[in-house]
Amino acid sequence: MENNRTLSFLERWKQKLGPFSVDAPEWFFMRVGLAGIVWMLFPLTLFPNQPNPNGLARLGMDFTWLNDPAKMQICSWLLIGAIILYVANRFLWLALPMMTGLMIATGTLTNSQSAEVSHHSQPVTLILLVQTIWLFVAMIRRARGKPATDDDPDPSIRIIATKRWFTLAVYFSVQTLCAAYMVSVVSKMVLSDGEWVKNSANFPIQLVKNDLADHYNVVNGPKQDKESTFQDNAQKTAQKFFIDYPNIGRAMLASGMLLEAFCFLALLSRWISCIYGVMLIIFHEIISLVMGLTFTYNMLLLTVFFVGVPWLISRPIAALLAKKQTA
Amino acid sequence: MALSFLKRLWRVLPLRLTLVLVAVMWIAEENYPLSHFPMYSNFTDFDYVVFVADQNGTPLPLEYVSLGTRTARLKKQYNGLINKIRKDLKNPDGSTPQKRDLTVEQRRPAGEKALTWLWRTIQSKSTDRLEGVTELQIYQIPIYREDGHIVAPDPEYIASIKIDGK
Repeated sequence: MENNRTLSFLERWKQKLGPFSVDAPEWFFMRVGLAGIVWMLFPLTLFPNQPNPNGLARLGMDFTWLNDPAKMQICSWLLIGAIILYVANRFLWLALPMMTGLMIATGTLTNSQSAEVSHHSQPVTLILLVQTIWLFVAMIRRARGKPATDDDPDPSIRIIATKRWFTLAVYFSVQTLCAAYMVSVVSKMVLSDGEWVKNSANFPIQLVKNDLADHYNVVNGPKQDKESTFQDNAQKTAQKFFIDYPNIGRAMLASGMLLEAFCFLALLSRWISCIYGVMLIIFHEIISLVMGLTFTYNMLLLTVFFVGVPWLISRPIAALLAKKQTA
Repeated sequence: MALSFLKRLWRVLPLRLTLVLVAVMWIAEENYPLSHFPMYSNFTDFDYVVFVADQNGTPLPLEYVSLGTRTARLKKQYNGLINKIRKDLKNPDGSTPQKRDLTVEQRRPAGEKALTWLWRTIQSKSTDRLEGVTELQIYQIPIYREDGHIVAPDPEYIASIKIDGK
């Protein structure tokens, strides 16, 4: 009896957190957005060695050849080709593995430099990886004579052009982004022995650290005497505020962690997703301002997959297409 | 019975991909592109920054002279090495010593290795902006709380490497 109640409770939530219906114009602008983010991320600073192998490098794969400018040039052209195909929604079986592979190769090399790694590109690469796996799952299903998805009435239509496939591709991308936020909450809770909120009173130490680190990036150099921008001044003011009032910083961090923990609620509706996305972006902006950190790619991913900018800008095209169909 | 319930549970479970990914990322820890995103997972009452100076101890604008490597990146390198040293240096009670308790001598190998890594990275790009520099030195500034105030005392010299013959 109790079990049945649990199952029906979960079933209700499964329906509530189901995918939004995505149409072709929105999917197009989402691909444009993701492709743009991939391109912005790609020319990472590369390194001649892998002193602390990470990921595939731990299995013995060597990515130091990427440090060769000629080879990197070829990779850049391959990525451009893959991005064009991805945006055009053609040959995704080639474009998606190419984009994913190049991102994994460059990201692995960058993260094989020290025991501590950087975290700006993982969510983007994971979304590409999930889309790639989802495409190949659908292709294998069709190859076995089964429908590619649970709604695949016409096998003559290309998989990537079927509405259900790309609706789920977007749904899985959103879930991947949610997972990245949610696992960080698990880390905060476990690695701090549940004392993360209590320990966040030490947050101002991080502010002083980042301020000093910024200083030593430019000290005695050409940028040292550059005029303070509005952002510099705002950063100084915000830092001073949080150092003077550490409990406000603690409350802000606690609310940010709650936002991350419950980010899956964004799937309840497009409006909630939009509001949730904006709140997470504001949270990232405050942290960026105060700590001098950058969350550019997370914020861009949120703009594409949570806030719904592709949906908004694709509405005139969707309306035109609908008009054309009825005419 | 239990198995059939679990099967039904799996079928009705919302956000299965999210849950699977959270579990996989947590288990995989740091294995690109997987990560459990542990940054700022514990705000300790002690932290530090590192910076690089020339043979006279004059701080160098790291981002400029290295064509893009920031002090935070160098610190990641150094801190990873410090953690290895800590694991090797057990306290008499078997616990791992705290970062703040390591002596400069104990931190020196980490400083030298971090500088060697930095120098190789700079060499792979361009050494033009290090004209006249014959030695790279690494300094550490500890940051901690004392009597309710945040203190960042004078930098401590950690290690240096010669960079003659660029």
